[in-house]
Amino acid sequence: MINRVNPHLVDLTTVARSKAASMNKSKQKLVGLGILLLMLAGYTLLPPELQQLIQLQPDDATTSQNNSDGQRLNGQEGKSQQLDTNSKQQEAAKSAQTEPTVRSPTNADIENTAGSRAAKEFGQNTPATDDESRQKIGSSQRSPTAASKNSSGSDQPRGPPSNQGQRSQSSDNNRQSPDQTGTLVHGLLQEISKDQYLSPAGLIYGPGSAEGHRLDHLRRHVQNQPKRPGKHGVFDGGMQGALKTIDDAFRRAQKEQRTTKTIDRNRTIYTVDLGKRIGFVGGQDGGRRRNPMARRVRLVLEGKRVITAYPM
Amino acid sequence: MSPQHSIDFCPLCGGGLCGIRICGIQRDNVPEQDANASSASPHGLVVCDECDAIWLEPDLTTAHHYPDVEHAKCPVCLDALWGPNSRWANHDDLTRLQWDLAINPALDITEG
Repeated sequence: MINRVNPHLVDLTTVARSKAASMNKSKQKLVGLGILLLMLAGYTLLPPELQQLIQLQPDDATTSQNNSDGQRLNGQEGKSQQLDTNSKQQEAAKSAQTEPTVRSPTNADIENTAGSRAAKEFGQNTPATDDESRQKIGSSQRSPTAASKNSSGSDQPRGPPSNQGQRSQSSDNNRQSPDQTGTLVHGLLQEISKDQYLSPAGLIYGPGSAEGHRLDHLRRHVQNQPKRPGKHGVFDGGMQGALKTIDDAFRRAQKEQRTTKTIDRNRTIYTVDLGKRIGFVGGQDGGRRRNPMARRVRLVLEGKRVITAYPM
Repeated sequence: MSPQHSIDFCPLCGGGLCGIRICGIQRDNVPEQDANASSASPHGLVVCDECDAIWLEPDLTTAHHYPDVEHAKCPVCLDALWGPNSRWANHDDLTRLQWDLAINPALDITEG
């Protein structure tokens, strides 16, 4: 009798145990729900850019192939990935709190991947598409004739010649001196020996002329001389503009493009039509004709050595 | 550096003024031994101020010369063409050279 266990008591303990188990289960459920709610709250608190990044985790190829599939992925798998990333972020935050001096690799991964994705989406892809669209717009909107008109028309004279003089002077002031560039004179010429300067096209400017140097002689043709009898060709763009134009004329002359050529002993005289404004006609004659624009260059050479060059 | 008096535009380069230049102007000041080195008295040249072509007479139909590109010399006395022994001729020089009738007054340049 003593050893006999009361069945009622047994029932009571089992009932209590089962109740405790059920309580534990409900607690676990509540804790799980709480965690889920916390994750959702964390997600909603995230900035919209990061939310988009988390949503765009599915493969871009599949999203580009089929948007509806992508939307489905965003709706189903996307959520699990969101949760995954959120948990990672929370873990990272926890580790950051516990180990403030050690950078969490998971966090770094997130930042790197997010950063690279952001760069792809906002930094790299956008300008490329913009450039492409600009090119497409440019090519579709501008016809070849319009382009050629623009290229030749933009340099056409506008306003009085005094403005052109100012324009050439200002560009002359902007030219790079030998000191600034270190090696190039007027931004173009390379000094190959004492007082000998080589242009990109292979022309040589050296000592000579009444001015003492061919470059000083050329300088006469970057400013008008209104009192000079006859015509006086003036280059646009100061010394640098003049040197570029002369090089351009020489290259065309070598290809015999719109060029007349006269050889007199060891001298070659080219007249090259550059097909666009390269200066204007000054001097007394030019002044009488309101300084018409010049499209041609007269180039007097001895071998590759420049004797003189001027617009006409 | 433009000529004061010219006879025409350059028939070779097309843009230059063929100005009258007087050379041998320092002969009077040169010591005797140096003066013997070159017996040339002041003499006239016609020089294009663009392409440096030279004529020995005020007539552009006569033969022209091209000086050395870097070291241009007077074809008569072989002095430096642009040196202190020569200059663009003024009116007195024209009279001295007796070339004053050859110039074209329309091509005169008055400095200042």
